[in-house]
Amino acid sequence: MSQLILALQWATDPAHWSGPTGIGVRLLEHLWYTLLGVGIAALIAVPIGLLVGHTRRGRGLAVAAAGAARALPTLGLVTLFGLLLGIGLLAPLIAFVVLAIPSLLAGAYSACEAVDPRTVDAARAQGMTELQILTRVELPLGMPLLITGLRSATLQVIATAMLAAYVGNGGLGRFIFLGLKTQDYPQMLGGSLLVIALAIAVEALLLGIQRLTAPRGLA
Amino acid sequence: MIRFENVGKSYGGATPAVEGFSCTIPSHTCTVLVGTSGSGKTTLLRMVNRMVDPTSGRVLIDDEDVATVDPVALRRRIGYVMQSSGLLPHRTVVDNVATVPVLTGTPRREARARALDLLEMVGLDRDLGGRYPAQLSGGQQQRVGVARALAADPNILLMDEPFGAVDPIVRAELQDELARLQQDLGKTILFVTHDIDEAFRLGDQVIVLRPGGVIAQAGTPEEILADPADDFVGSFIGAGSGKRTLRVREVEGRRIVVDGAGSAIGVLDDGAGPSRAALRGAASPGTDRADGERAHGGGAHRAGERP
Repeated sequence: MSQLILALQWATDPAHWSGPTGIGVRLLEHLWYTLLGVGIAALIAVPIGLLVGHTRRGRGLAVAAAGAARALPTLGLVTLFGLLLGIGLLAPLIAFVVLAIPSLLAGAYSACEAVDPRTVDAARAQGMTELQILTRVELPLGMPLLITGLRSATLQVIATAMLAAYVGNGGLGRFIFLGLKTQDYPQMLGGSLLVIALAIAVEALLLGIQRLTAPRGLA
Repeated sequence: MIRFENVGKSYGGATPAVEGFSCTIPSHTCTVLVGTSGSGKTTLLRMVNRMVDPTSGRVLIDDEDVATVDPVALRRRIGYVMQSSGLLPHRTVVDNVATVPVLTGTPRREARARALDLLEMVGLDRDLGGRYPAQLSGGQQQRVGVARALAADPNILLMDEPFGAVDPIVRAELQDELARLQQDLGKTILFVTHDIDEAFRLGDQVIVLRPGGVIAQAGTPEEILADPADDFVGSFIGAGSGKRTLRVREVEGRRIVVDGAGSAIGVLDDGAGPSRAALRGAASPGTDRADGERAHGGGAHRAGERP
């Protein structure tokens, strides 16, 4: 228990927050890695997921690919890409993208699949193009599910982004790995608490966005 | 005018959904396709706006093969009403009605103003325009569906069991409303139902289908009632059950109409009322032999081809 109090003291000490290696900078780095990882993953997974959901084709393949990607151990990926690509951000970033893709893919195709096929049929019969059906019917109605996927992907990447420090980058992982090496457990635990707090804060933000973008008119 | 020319649709199974269907839907009249499930009536309806493409034969609108028309453009100029209203749940009623005009480039303001007029036309209060579909009753949703189909002022209206999911009282109201609208608008309506009473109520021409889209009989309601082509049509219209065979019985000086089972259903009024055709404000097309594809013989002929 005293370790936890020491960790909290460490994390709330203003002296630890300032400077180029302070908590403030590391927090921003951590967020930046998350944004990059989830952003790149979204650019890949969301269009594919929407295509699969809209056309209802290739679902089996998408599910299998997402399942396989989920099974990959992220630490192993980071180490593997680190060995291949050397020290730097690219190796962990690839691992984060691989980590984020399954949730985003599932969110995107279930967003389309959840829309009542009769609604889609009616939209098509009114003369909407396939793109219009996607952007004006399936996306607005499926937005909550798409954001559920985004939330889950973001949460996983935030929790894992500390691995960036493992191969020489910044982020809140620096405190965790530094604390581990120097047996400074309050620092290590403090870093972990910060990751948790960041994850909760971002989750709350995304939940808010999800509420705001929920389609109106649904009972 | 819509013409089906030897149209067939097969989904690859042993028996095609529709085979060798030919008929003509005259302009400015209401033609009802009536049949049980599996009769291919919805498939035929959806061929007109290319929601289904036939695997054989052609569908022509005013002598233009629909297969040569871009489906999106085609659908925007054909009104479509379906059983589940098919309204977009995340859009207000007025935006739902304005869907097609907005798609075709009408300014949103103008489209909304016209949509409100259309709501009134189908018997809804303009105030409902701001609501979402889920806030309306089933009958109101179907009215909105009709308003949406009329929004781009199409010549053709396709109606796929539009009143099938509402209760009988509301259904009767909606049927009356549609008959009234049709009297004013004179659209070319192709209407699909499994309810023979609805078919007789609304159809200038009624086409009774057997499974596989085979025409059992086509004609005006009067013609079909007066002379069912065969036992299938007879049992479909209920000729044998007694509900179509009415008798007059004198009770206290008034003449009561009773059905085959002896139940009283009305009083006979000798005053010469307006004819059916005059009530609907449209000429009866059923006796128009110029496009005789759908004459009784046609159905019998095709029936003969079935193995």
